[in-house]
Amino acid sequence: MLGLESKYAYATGRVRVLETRLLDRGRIDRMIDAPDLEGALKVLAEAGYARAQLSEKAHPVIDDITAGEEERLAALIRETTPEPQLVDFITARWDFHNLKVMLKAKLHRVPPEKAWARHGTCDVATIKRAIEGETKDLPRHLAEALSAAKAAHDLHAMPETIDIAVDREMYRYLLARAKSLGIQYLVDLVQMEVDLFNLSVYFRSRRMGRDRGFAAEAMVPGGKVSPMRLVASYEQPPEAVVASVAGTGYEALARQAAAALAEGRPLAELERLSEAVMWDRIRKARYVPLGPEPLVGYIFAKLHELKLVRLILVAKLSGMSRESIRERLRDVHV
Amino acid sequence: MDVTVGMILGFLGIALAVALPGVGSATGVGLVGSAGSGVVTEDPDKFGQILLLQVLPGTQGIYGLLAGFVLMMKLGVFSGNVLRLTTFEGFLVIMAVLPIAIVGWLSAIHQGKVAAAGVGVVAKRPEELGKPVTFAAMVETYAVLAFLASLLLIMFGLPLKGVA
Repeated sequence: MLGLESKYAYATGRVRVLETRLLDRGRIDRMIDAPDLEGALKVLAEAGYARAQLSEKAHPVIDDITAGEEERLAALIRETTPEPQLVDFITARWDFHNLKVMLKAKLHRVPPEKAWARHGTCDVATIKRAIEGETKDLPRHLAEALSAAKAAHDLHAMPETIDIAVDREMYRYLLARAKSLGIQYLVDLVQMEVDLFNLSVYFRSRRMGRDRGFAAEAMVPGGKVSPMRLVASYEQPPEAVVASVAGTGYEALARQAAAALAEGRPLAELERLSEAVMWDRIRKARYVPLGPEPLVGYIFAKLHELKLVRLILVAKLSGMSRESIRERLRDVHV
Repeated sequence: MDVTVGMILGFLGIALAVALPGVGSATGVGLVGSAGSGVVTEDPDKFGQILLLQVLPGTQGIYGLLAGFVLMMKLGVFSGNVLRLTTFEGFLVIMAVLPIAIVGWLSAIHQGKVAAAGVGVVAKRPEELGKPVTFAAMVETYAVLAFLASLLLIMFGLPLKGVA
C-alpha cells in the first residue's frame, strides 16, 4: 500500500533538512558582493561547505570545494536510497563529463582541464588509457560514447561535435537507467533533459550550418518531443519550430531561441531558458510529501547549486566585477 | 469443551479488532519513524517534536485492543467460562468489530502519511509544529467514530445467549 513512499521515507526526512541548507538568493548575492574570492569562500563556509576554509591557493581550492560537495552528495545517495542504481545514475554524469574533457584535451592538443569530476564510477586513469586506445577496462556505455565521439570528430573536427556526441550517448544511457529504476519523476526529468538537449542540437546545428541529417542523427529519441517532429521544420524559417513544440511547455524557449537565431544573436539565452524550464519541474518535488521525488529533486538542485558556485568562484578568481557576474547569472534560479 | 462455529467466529472477531488496527498503526508509526530518523540524522534537536508526530498513528492500535478487550469480557474469556455462541451470534460479533478493524487499519496508515509529511514541516519550520499535528489529528476523528460504533455495538448490540 505504501511502496515507494515507505522506501524513501528516510531519504525524504534527510532531504527536508538539507533543502534548508541549499544556497538561497541572499547567500548567492553575498557571494557576488564579496570583495574577493576569500570573502565568497567565507559565505560558503557559513553555508556548511566542508572544504571552503582551505583558501590559500586558487584553482585547487575551487576544485576541492566542488569535489567535496560532490562526494557528500554521492554519500547521501548511498546512505539513503534503497536503489543502488540511483547512485550510478548521478555518478555516470561525471564519467561522461570526464570523457568529454579528456577527449577534447587529447584531440585538440590543449592541456587537460582541471575541471574533471572526481567521484565518477569509472576512475580517471581508465578513461585516459581508453582515449589512448586501451579500452578493455572501460564500461560499455562509456566505450560506446568514446567511439561515437571519435567518429563524429573524424567527420567534423570541432570540440562541439565531441560535446554533442558524448551528451547524446549520456542521455540515451540515463534515459534507459531512469526507466529501469521505475521512478516516474526521474523519467520525466530525463525526458525533459533529452527534449532540451534536442532543442539545443536543433538551434546549434542550424547556427553551424549543418544539414537536417546531421541534426536528426545527433538528437536522442525518447523525449516528449520526437526528433522527427523537431527536424520537420528544419529547412523552414526558425520560428516554424515553435509549432513543432506546441503544447509541450517549450514554446517560449523555442520562440526566443528562434528569434536569436534569426537575428544572428548568440544562443546563450537558450541555456538560461532551458535551466528555467528544468528548474520549474525540479521545484515541484518540494511539494511531494513522500516518495523518491524529494531526493531526486534535491540531487538535481544540488548539482545546479554546484554549477553556480563554480561559476561565481571562477569569476571572483579572475577578478570579474559584481555587475558582470550578475549579468552572467541574470535570472538564474536559486 | 465443545467448540461451536459461533465461538470460532467470535474469536475471529477479537483477532480482527486487535490485529488490523495494530498492523495499520505499526505501518503508520514506522513510516513517521523512518522520515523522522532522516531529519534527526541531520538535526538531532528535532527529536522531541518528531516523537509527538510519531505517536499519533499509534492510537488506532490502542482502540483496537480496547474493542477486543471489551469483546473478550463479553464472551467470558476472563471468567474461564467462554460463551458457546451460535453461528448467527458469531457473525454478529464479526459485524460489530468491522468498523474499528477496517477504519482503524486504513486510517492509521493514512494518518502515518500525513504525519510523515508533517515531519518535513518540522524540519523546515519547527515553530509550526501545531499545524502538522492538527492535520494528522483530523484523520484521528474517523478512527474515534469507528471505535465508538464498534464499542456501542459490542456493549449494547449483541444479545448473546449462546447454545445450551
